Amino acid sequence: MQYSQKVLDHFMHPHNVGKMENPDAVATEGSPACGDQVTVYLKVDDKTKTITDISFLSYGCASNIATASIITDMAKGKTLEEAKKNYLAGCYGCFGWTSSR
Amino acid sequence: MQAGRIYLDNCVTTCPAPEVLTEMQPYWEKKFWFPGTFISTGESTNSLINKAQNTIAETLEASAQEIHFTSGGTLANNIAIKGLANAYKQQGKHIIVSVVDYPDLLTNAAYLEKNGFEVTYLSADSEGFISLEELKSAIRKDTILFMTTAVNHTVGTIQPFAEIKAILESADHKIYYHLDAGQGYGKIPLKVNELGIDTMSISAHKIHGPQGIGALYQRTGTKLAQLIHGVKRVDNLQTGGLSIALIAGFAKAVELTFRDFEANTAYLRELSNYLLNRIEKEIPYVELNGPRGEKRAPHNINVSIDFIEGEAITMMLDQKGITVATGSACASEGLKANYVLMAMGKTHIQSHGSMKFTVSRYTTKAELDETVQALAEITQELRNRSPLYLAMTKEK
Repeated sequence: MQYSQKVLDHFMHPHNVGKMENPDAVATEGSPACGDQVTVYLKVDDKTKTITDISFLSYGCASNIATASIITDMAKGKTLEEAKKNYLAGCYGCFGWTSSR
Repeated sequence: MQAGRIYLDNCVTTCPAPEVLTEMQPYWEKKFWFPGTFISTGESTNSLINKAQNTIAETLEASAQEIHFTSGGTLANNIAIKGLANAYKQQGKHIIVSVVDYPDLLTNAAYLEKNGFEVTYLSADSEGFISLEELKSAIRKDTILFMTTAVNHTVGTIQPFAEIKAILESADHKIYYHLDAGQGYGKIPLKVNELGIDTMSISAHKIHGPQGIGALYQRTGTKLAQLIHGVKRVDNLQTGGLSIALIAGFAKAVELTFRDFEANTAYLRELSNYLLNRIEKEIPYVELNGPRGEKRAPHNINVSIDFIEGEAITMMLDQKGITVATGSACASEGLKANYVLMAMGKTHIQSHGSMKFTVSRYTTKAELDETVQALAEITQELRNRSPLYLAMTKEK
């Protein structure tokens, strides 16, 4: 399979990568046995329920890393409901968010 | 090869030697004739084919008439495996192969299994050696064929030929023995009588010859049921109109490979050891897959890099102009972990994180230096992104 330049760019230089200190929510999906695992961290504004910051860690192939980079870009600034419906859930299935609060 | 690219996937295919290209040129342009008798053009081609058969036969301590040209290793494997099974099925329909063998052998075994043969699949140990105990106990009165892969295509394991020969010869009836030597030919000594084999497949493009040509060794007196039906052009096996230029190129590649076999293979081993030493020294949490030392083919290094995934490593190396291979499921057609590594008892993570580097006589230490430096940087970069690596560092 040939990756597009956009995917390659996100794979080589992913956005929002890294562990977040004191996140409001964190979720891990996937399994190393399948070759893919992603952890996503969120900071959420209490009043507006907007995602103010988002980051991820990925054990996986190029498309896994690039997808995480793209969807975290898209989810940033959106409300939790919008993000879950349009970006995060669509890409990774239903996240079982675990609030750290 | 792409200029400036570091190519370390020589178990898949190798760049043709410049001498091979020069050797082939006249046969594309002027001496393109098929073999024949009476007329000078055909006779000239006959001579070339006989000479090429001789060149290959000498390297195997076989006779020229025992060498048949095919379009490659896969055709040679098919002609031999199906040919032996069908030629001797009156004596029995039991076949033995191992779970770590080359796909040609396993797919042929599966085909024969669907067509009335019984197949025993031997297991392998953690270094990729087939189980000799299982081989001994698998042999039955109706066993007609044993086949294996001389050098494992994933981890470079050299099978214990002397022990295999002794076991097969201790049976109270003849068991035909086919060897896939795609990875072995030109890398380790392979003498047909010493091995005790009846048939063997080899391929030109694995030894800096052209793609599209291989050969089948068939011991004199060993029968092969005919697989292909067609016109007899180049070979009695009716393999069709094989390219004379490719045969000339194959013979030249063999000549170059075996001209100084000891020095050539010693250089490959020196390169592999150098690469492995540097990787083990400079990249933590790396494990060699397959045996260490003389029981491993000289051109193969396969390592699992923990906490990260091989397709991503391969892609990043590719972006830096370095071609390697991985056992990652994401890089496979069926999205499955590498079957050889899994059969050796490796975990999914070890299989997905496995990287195979195969060197050639054109590889240089400077290229390996560049590769290790790139690999170390990429490994750190991907580990910084990996939740598995983070979990490990937290635990410590």
